[in-house]
Amino acid sequence: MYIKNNAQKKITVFLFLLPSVAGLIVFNVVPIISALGLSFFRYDILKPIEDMTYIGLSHYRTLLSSGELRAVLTNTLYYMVMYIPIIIVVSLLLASMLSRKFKGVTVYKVLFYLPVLTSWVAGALIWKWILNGEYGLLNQFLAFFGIQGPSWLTNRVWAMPGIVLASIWKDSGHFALIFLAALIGVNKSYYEAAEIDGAGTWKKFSRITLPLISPIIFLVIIINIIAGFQIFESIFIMTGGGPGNATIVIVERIYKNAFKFYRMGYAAAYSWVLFIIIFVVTYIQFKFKKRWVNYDS
Amino acid sequence: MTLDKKKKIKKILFYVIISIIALLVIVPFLWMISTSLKGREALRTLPIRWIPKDITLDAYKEVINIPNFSFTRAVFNSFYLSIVTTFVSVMSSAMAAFIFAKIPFKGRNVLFSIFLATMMIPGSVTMIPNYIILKHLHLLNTFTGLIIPFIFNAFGVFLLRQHMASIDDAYFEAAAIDGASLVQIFFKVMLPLSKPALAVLAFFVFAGTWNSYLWPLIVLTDRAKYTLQLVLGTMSTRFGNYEHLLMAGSIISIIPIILAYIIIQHFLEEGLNLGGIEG
Amino acid sequence: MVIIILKLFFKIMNYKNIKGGYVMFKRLVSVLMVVCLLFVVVLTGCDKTADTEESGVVTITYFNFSAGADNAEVLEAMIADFEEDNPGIKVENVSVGYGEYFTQLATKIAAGNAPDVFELNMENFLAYAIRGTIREVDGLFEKTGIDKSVYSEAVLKAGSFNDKQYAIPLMFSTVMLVYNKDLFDQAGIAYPTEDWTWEDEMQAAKKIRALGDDTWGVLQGIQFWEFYKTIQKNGGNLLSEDGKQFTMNSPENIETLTYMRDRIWKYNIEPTEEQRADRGSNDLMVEGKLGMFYGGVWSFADLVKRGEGVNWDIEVEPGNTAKASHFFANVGCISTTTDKYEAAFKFLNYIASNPKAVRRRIEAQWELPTINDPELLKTYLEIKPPENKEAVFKSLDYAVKPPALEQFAELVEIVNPKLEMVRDNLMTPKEALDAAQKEAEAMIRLD
Repeated sequence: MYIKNNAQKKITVFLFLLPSVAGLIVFNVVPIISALGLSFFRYDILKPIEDMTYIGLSHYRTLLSSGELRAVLTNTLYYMVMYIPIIIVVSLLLASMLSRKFKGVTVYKVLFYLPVLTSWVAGALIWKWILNGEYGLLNQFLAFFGIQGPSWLTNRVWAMPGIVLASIWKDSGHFALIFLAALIGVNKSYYEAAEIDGAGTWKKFSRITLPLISPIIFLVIIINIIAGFQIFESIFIMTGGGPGNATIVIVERIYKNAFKFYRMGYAAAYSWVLFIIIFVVTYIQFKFKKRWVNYDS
Repeated sequence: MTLDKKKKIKKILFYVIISIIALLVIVPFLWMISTSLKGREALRTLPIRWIPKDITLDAYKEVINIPNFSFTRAVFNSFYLSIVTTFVSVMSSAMAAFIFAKIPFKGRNVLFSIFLATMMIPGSVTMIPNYIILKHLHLLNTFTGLIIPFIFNAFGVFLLRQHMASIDDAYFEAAAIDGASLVQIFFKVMLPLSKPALAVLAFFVFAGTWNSYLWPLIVLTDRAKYTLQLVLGTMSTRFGNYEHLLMAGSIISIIPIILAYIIIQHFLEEGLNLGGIEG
Repeated sequence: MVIIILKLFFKIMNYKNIKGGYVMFKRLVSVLMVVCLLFVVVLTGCDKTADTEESGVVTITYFNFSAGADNAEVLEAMIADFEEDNPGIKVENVSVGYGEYFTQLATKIAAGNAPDVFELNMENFLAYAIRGTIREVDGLFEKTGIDKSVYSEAVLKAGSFNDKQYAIPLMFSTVMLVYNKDLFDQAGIAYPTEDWTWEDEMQAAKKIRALGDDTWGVLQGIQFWEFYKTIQKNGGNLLSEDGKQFTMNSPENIETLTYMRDRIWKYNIEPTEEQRADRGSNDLMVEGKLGMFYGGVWSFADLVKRGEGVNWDIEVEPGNTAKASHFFANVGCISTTTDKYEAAFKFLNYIASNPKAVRRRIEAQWELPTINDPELLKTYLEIKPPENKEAVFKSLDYAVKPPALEQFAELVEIVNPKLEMVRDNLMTPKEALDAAQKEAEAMIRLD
């Protein structure tokens, strides 16, 4: 659009960008840099800011040597290795069912979306109750088949799978909707051509649908990796990081260090570790996405 | 078997499968309702009873009447916060998106890529410094402090820019010839034409704010300012094994957002299909 | 502002209405939502007018955790009494669960929104005293003429720092051996006595365990608090005597932890986490599946409520080379930032020592009052069950306190996961304590 480059335009551009740019600087750029700065200090939130002491790389040294970071990363990976494949399969399944035209499709869509609307606080509370070792719904259900379920959230092996279960329930509707949008976008003529060639449902799915929506699948995986490093609410309410250190994760550490142990600096160091991880994941995505997925559609 | 019959069986099978999945999804909700209708003694009895022996609404009464624990106030706070945050965030995103989509100026592309780059800085990374910034601005424990970081929404700017860029320039040129200023063009032409995208963004921001927990948890410290999620979280530590109360509270917290969703559900989907998703 | 936003909201919602019925429904729901919202606005409006302070009335906020769910009503009643006796003062009671109490308190203080009065347990008292968040109260005792000696010496100490009084002791508690008489009878063994040792406990527990698959001899658990107490029964401790060094992995401590682990994994008189299946000690006791557990006075109220038909009693905990019992105290603190400290001081003393409040506390069995008055304490002994109430006070003779450290919360976070590894038999006691020692030395400053 052609617009005269006059004072009016300049003022408009300035004013329209002002809120965003101010927010960008004050609440994103400054914080990310000051988080780095803060991580070199010992700073107690209950003491005046003058009491800050410079301690150099000490926080990072503790972080790397204590084994806590290793536990944090192991737990996060354990979570992602279970969660990501399941969420992809489940939400694709839901999406492909919803992509058909049938009576009552809206009702099912709303039903599948209910957990997404539920806050994590409420979701975590209900799952904490479902996963109770003795009185929980899940173990009672398993007992019906003669299986004795574990005390999920207080068992160090099963706590994370319990959280994954709750997360799948909570998130699959969201990703199903994203996949649904992608499925609807697939050109119908491909399927018609395949049907003439006598392809079955599975063949159509694996040969046409899957390659065509692979960019979206890739995107969803990346989104989930990034989100996986930031899980908090579910863990915080369901296990609080326990039992032992079986479910401690980065954001939970940031919160605890800052507000329970009064170690703002250490929390900031954790923040920067998180930032670096996400930076690397995003970088890999940019670098390699062209090589991995089919962008023909 | 005729082809017709086969099709019919297939259809029934499909309904059965999708209904089973739907049931799995809503079982936790049913269990939540069932638990909330029990008394405390009935919580830990086996075998499980889906329909409680003595159905009672006591849990709801108790939850609503916990001293200094106003659920009605929290509902209001949540609505207020979510609506204002949505308005602020969507407006500021729309304004920036308009500029990025339609008004060329020097350095536009650089600035836009900076915007995009910040999409990978998650809130949990900037949380601690933002907390300290708010502390020094004396904005802790205020709604303003809680809302103001959301004035910048990189995802929102991106989403709206994509949509606005796809709108034909002819609309604006006509308005410009009529002597409309840029501000008028934005409000009278651009915003109405972007409704679907605005609604999608508004819903995401609304739901995100409604359900957010960690940020309000550290910013708000006054009980009177608590949101529903904070009230619920606080309840969960205090009434740890009073599950009937927790479930009643959860149900109260879920209902408003489900209503909001049902209202705009149809609309939302349309917006999503309009190409809100991009790789 | 809100109205404009609402208008916008509904304008957006009505965009492109296609299906008639659906639109009707949507409209209906929108109207409902507006009505709800208005309702809420009106309600909160009412709240606000009710909040406005009458002239001359001081309102103080009391932030606390120990009322929890079980004693909420007792605290409310105490506050009502206080307000009645002190017409000029109103108290806003804010109760939070223990799990998030300290993070909430920290964010409140950091936000400059510190509650006028707040509760601390003795473990965390030091952390807040050192940070200068608590007002010293010796001057207030003098000024108001309230005699400090209404409180017993031991509990006063829980709130003192640098030889000055910084807090008012509100309540204290001890931990005893709670046991199920019926199970002892069934197993044909004599009830526990004050001079019981670990060996006696073990023999009894084995016999009770033999009564059934899901019947357990004892439940103690392996966690920080049980650990620092139990090692002292065996001549160990967490810190050296001068408090300058950690002695986490001393031979005595390793031996003690091995004993605690063996009760679970070797003899299985105590359930593993798997066998316990998220049932608390009170749950198991009420169901008649537990012979003994280590329970604080705070567990009585619930046992009385739910444990009808269960024949239970208490005794002083068994010891080994020495005896040791938990002593916990909660204190009430006045924020350094409040100017309503006189009202706050009055309030704290009231709920801690006013006879009416003390009686309420005693009747509810909400821990123990901190006052010296033997007459009032006698009434506590008279409330039964448990039959052997004297054990509560006898335990005081063997009291051990939690270590007072500025970084107490962190120490727990370091030690607990290691103990849990032992509890779940994933680490040997030595490995766990070596690791705890190393990490504590690295992270906790002892000056």
